[in-house]
Amino acid sequence: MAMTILVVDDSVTMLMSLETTLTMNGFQVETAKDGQLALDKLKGGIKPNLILTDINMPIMGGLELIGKVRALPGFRFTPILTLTTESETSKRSEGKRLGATGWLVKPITGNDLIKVIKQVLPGA
Amino acid sequence: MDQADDRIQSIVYESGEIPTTIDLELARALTGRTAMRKELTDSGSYVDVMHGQIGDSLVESEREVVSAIEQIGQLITNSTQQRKNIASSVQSGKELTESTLARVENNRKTIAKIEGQLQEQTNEVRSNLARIQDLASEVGALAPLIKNIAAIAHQTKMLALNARIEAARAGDAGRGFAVVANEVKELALLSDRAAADISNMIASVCAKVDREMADAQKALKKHESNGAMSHLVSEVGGMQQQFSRNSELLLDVIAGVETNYSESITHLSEALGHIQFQDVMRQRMGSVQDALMEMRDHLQLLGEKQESPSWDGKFDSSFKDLLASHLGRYRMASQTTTHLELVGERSSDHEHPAIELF
Repeated sequence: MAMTILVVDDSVTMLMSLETTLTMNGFQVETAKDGQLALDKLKGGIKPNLILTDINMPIMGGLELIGKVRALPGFRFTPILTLTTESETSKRSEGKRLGATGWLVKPITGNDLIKVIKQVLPGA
Repeated sequence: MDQADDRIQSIVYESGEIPTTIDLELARALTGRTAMRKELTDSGSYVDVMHGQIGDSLVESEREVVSAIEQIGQLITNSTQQRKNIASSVQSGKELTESTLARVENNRKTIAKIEGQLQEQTNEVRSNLARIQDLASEVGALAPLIKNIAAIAHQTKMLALNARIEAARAGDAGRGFAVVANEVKELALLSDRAAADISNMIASVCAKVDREMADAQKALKKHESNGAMSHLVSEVGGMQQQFSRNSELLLDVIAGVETNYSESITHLSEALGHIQFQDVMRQRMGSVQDALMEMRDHLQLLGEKQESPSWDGKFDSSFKDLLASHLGRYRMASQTTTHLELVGERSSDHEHPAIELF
């Protein structure tokens, strides 16, 4: 059964390109345009195998989302990768402290992305 | 005549006094300030247009990129469907080939079995033919014996004749001998008839044997012509090999399609990764748009302050301050690097890898 990845990004082009890339590489994809919508989906019952989130988004950013996801029951060990243009050291450190699994800086090639996902998702 | 001269003329006409140098300089400064104020006010529209141009470009680039992704998505959908169709067709072909191959193998075995049986029959026919030939030879070998019997009968008959002559010559004394001579004659006749009968029977048997031999030869030829069976078995074997090769070819086709598909996915994944530049550009241009708005507000403030008689010439924040404030707001290392390079400084933040797992 295909693994599910929740992609969170406020950019429509990012959502579309990531969804297409992941789908053609055999993953099921859920999308959300900001952290709050992603959190709503998780609370609504979807159980992704991995979350891939942008950092700078309106309404709720990626760092806040990571903190809130880690507080949800059943998501303590779900891998969370950030995919962001944000390269500031303090933000990266904050992401790590909040429980991010890895920090990826845009742009990243589709094949590198798949490689990292397979690295943090054994069996994918 | 420029605006400053107009202003001086109005001062002269209103006061009736000759304007001093200071009056003239003041008039020129006031005129310049008014013109500057107007320019600064107009700069708002200018910056708004530039801001709008960037915004429209971003919207347009996003629309084009979305369209490109949709096209790629459609391409992937079609490729995936085509791959499934090809795999399905090839699989059907492979199953058909394997099933045919199994049937060909059964047929080959059946034909080989038939060929074996036919070979046995041929051998049997050959063996029968040989026996018939032997028999015919043996029967044929009886013919000279018949001649001997006929010769013996003839001699016996001659002997009986002589005996009867001698018996007649002997008179009464030879009467008993004459009886014997008659009996011998009867025996000779019987022998002669028997020899003739046996000779006829042998001839008849030989004729029958010849017919049987001819039939047997025909049967043998027929069986031997069935040596075509061996050719048939060989042909079927060839077909079997051909089907095996076809099966391998079909597997190669499946493998080829899979390889091509995987390569396509790799290339498309790369292409989709490059499309992320649009989001990077959107964010960089978004920062430029914000900076333009700040510049517009600052210029408007300058214009307003110029007109204010109480303005002391100081700013809450200068262009230099505004520029410096951007450094703390950049999201991308590339933005910071560009900024510092343009103002002649070097980045102090250490570069991080693009991919870092914690």
